[in-house]
Amino acid sequence: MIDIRDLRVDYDRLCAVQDLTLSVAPGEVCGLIGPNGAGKTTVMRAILGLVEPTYGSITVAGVDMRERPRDGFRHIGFMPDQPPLYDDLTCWEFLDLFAASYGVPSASRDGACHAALEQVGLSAKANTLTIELSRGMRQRLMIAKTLLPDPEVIILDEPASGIDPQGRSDLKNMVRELARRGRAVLVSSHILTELQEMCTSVAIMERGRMVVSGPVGDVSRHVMGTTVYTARILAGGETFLRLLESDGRAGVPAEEADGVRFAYAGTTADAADLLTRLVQAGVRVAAFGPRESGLEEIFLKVGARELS
Amino acid sequence: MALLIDNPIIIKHIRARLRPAQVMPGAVALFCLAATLTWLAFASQRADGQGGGFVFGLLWCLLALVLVVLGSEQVATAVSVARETGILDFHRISPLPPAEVALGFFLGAPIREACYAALLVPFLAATAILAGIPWTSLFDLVATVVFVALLVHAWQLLAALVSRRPRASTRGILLLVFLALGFGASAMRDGSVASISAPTYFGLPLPRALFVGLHTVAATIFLLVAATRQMRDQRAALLSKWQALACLTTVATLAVGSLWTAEPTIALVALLTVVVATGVFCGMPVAVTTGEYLKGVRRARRLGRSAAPPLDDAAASGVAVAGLCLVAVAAAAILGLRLAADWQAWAWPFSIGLLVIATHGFARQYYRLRDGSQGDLLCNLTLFLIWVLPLPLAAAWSASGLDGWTGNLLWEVTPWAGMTQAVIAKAGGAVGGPWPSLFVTGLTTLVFGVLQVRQAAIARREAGAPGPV
Repeated sequence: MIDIRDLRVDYDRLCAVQDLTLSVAPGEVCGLIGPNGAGKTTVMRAILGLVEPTYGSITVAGVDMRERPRDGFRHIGFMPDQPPLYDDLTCWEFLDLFAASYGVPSASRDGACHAALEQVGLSAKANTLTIELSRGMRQRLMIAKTLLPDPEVIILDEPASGIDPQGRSDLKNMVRELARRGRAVLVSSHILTELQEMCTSVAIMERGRMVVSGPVGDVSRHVMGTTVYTARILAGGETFLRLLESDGRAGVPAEEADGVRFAYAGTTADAADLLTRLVQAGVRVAAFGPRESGLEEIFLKVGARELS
Repeated sequence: MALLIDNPIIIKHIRARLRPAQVMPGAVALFCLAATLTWLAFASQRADGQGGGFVFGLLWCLLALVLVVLGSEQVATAVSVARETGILDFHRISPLPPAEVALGFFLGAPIREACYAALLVPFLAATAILAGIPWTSLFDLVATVVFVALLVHAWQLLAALVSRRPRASTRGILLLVFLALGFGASAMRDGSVASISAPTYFGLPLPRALFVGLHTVAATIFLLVAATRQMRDQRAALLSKWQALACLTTVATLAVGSLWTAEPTIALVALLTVVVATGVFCGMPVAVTTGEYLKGVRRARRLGRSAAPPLDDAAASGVAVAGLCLVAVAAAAILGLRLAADWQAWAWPFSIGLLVIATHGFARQYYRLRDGSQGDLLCNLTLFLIWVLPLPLAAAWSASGLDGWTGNLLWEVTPWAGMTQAVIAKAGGAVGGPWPSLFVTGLTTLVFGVLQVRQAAIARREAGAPGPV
């Protein structure tokens, strides 16, 4: 859905993004993270055509954004952190303006606008001027505007800033639902715990370069070196420890409240084989699986490595 | 027409600005005022057969105030607010073409003022009948206001897209436009304009409104082209190199056509002024900044070339400036051959004029390649020092009783002195030749030409290095 190759963006003599490659597939929610000035916003603005890349290709839903940007914009929904609205329009008029801009036929526009308002719980506010809306309602109206043309790619820049816990929960559910419907979502946020709950992949940027990107599990393994597994053993604890030691790829196990934690240097298939051997040896395993490292943990480790 | 019908931005403005509760108070006030003034005209015409013309002038000024001044304030406000809040970026990333967005703000933002102006027209017509003003003059006056309003709205649209404080920066211009319209109306109403022969274009007589429309619409279109580029990309130059060449060609064609049958000396001096001023103006957007030039070089190298094509947005402006000079030469040659038997004598003032365009173009390009957009300040300072400062300096030198030769030389080195002297000498006046001016302007052209080529080479070397991240 989003395919960026060898992207470079310069602001006068400063190189803001250098040789960046990134892909976001349908159904994927990609979290773009990095410290301030890393180039996250520049990447987003380049995808949206708001800054002209020096070189490199950006393809959105199969459309080359440098060749046919207007066609590409039909497939993109963008939501910034501060939702700008026309204060002199009602909610319905605001949606109708952008529905018309995105080429929604006039015959079906009215219904589409009312449906979008209903989706975000603003049906009762259809004829209310947007200036009279609360911050949360403005954010919800912006979500309705973003989703109205049913875009295949959604770009969210700090989407959760300034909205209440219920709004954040709704947003998270909405993003998951969009991914389930096959939409590609690129989201940038400083609240990493929140990204972790909604992202299936992560891209970490530092000083205009892509440091690491891919599915959260792969990135975690790549960055942290080994995967940490947790196992809950109901019976056969000694056999479990013996087999673990004999495997050779497992680290020293440690008791935790929810089971035994141990680092494992093997692949996912190796871990599956280990589990099979445990079960065949009569160990009663109630739970066995990788404990993925938090985004914050990964981000801090990447940052420390880059800075060193 | 496709850009106007179902234009979402126009519809947005109609909805937001034509709500009855907002329109009615102004409309009622304006209606009452216009009706009272018309009654006043009727009463004074009945009393002494005079006064209708004065009231007509007042109503016409009210029309200009509403349409030109208030309307353009609305354009500036709408665009500034959209820019400040960030909603303009939403229009930039929507499938709506930038031209449609620009037209939407241009025609939509002053929609309420347009309605108020339409309300005034019947009263204007009634007072014109009472004052015995011919229909043709009424049509010319109303059409002039509409054309000027469109021009000022386009200017405000562009100013709001590029300037930080658009309303403050153009308030003076609005006042000047308003005063000029007032004087124009007064002249047309009194019939003094009617006594001047009808305007012609390439010898063909044209109605006054059409003549004004021809010039203002051309200027409006180029302002809208620049605004459309800004709508597409906030960092883009106002005009591409091709568009700048087209702009000068259009202005030169309009000037040549309008001066086709004029008295030779007046016509050629007017053409010289218009072509040089427009050439200098067109030299600004074509000069590329360091950042854009480096971008062009890096992009070109990926394609196996050393730099961007000469008329690309990211190329240095040398070829475009040469093109601007070529257009100016062509315009001068066409009108000179048509009007003056001794047209070769006009070669000197026009040569200096071309060197002014070239010096400005090369100097701006050199400073922008050296210092980016900050280079404009240094460029302006340099041009002030070599073109403007010698004039008061020469006056001060002469007035202080120091040697007259130096004072004269200070005056004669400026291009303005050179052009003036060449024109006076052509008319048989006893003044010195344009040689000092020609020499100095030629030298500055050469110096800045060499400097900009050298600076472009430095930038190309810089493009090879990785650069700061």
